[in-house]
Amino acid sequence: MSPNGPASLRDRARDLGPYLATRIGGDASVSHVSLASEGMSATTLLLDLVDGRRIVLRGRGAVKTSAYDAEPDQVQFHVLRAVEQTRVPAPPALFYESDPDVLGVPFLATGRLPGSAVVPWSREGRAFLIEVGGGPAGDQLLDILVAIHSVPVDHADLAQVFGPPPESVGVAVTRLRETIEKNAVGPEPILTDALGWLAANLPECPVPALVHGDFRAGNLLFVGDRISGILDWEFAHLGDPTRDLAWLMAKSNRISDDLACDMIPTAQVLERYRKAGGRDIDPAAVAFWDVFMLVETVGIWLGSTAMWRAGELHDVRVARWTYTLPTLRLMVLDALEEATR
Amino acid sequence: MSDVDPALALAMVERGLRLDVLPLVADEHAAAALRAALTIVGNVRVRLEIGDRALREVLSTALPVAEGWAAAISSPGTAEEVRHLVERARASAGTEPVVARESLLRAAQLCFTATWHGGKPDLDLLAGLRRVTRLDAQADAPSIRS
Repeated sequence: MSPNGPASLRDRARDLGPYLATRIGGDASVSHVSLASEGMSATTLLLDLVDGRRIVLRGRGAVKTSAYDAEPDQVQFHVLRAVEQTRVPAPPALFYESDPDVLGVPFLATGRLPGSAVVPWSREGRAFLIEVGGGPAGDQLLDILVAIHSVPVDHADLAQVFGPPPESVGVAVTRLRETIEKNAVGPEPILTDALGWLAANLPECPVPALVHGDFRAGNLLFVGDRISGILDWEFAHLGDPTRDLAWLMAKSNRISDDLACDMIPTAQVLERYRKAGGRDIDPAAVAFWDVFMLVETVGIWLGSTAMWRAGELHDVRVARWTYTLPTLRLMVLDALEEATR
Repeated sequence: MSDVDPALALAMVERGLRLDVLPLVADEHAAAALRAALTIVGNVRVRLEIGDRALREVLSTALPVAEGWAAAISSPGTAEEVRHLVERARASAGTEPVVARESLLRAAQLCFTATWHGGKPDLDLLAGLRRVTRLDAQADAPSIRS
């Protein structure tokens, strides 16, 4: 059993009661622990406490996804605090623990929201999303996105982890280029083409906003036909809100031809976002972010592969990812050609 | 020494693990890791079965397109480097297709960098480059099982 692997974290979490009592008070003895997910960037544990409270621990994984100096879960902690007073149904932040000796890795603790996630790629998940997307959840989806984008960017918690908003989208493209160049093990002509196109087609973002960074159906919780939670804030940052809309509409996040996240008609997304109180969005900027986020995904996968080659990561899923890289490169090329058509 | 086809050997390993071992693995993490490993073995097997055939087909279509790349590059130094890489790709296509592919992709990468420099690309060059990179990526992608 790996000392920091999911099974080890689950075992150590069972004994966290006395520690948790010092952080959240009351009798915090742990009655049950389950593993909710085992991602590259985090392991998520669900804890039931004897007094009936239910909390979530998100332990740091081997792959760092945040581009900021702070720990990704520390960033999430402050972002969750910043959205607490809004109508965004995000998990309430409890605390961030930087000491790896407590659980085995640094971790974020949050409250647990009601509801269940769906697997968008399953037949049942897709059928569910299509059904609820045609009802109140469809409108709710864009209401929530507008609420996220309306959080003041000078909020103290955001300022603490992000600093001032970037002056240009070019900063993100430069950072992406550096990631690709650092981790590529062979020629990457498709990515070089995409990075050239991105640099030549930077969208203007006169008013930066809080961006969720991974706003898609797989990160939603539902109670009945309504959205009860937005999860996975690890990619949150200050920047162009169009990025969230592009990801919502991305072909890689749906099976349907014409339903964004298999929930609402793609052709209606920008108009419904505007009607919900969002700003006017330039479709050219959507195309930019569509290409950007695909390249970014390849960059993350190349980074994980580089870690695996260096012996810093032993997860067998990395090898599987490497095999799917050609498909991702084709998706980048498709998006690029569609954008320049 | 017996002469076992590597793809057949991998198919046997894959089948044995899937049918005889996986059903006995109760631990959810171990089972997930084994399934991921099986996917990798399956992908390697498919690659071996396809062999260099697909790669040679890509090269035979791509090389004539690549012959014109160097002439479209304005920087003499870069043009010379591209010419050298395409020549090496052409020379090794018959005997070492993997080396040829690497040279071709490096040439394409240099051309993309050059054509996007300044932000206004040569559209004809861009179209030819994308045709080749698409052919190459398509040759890789169909063998993928995720």
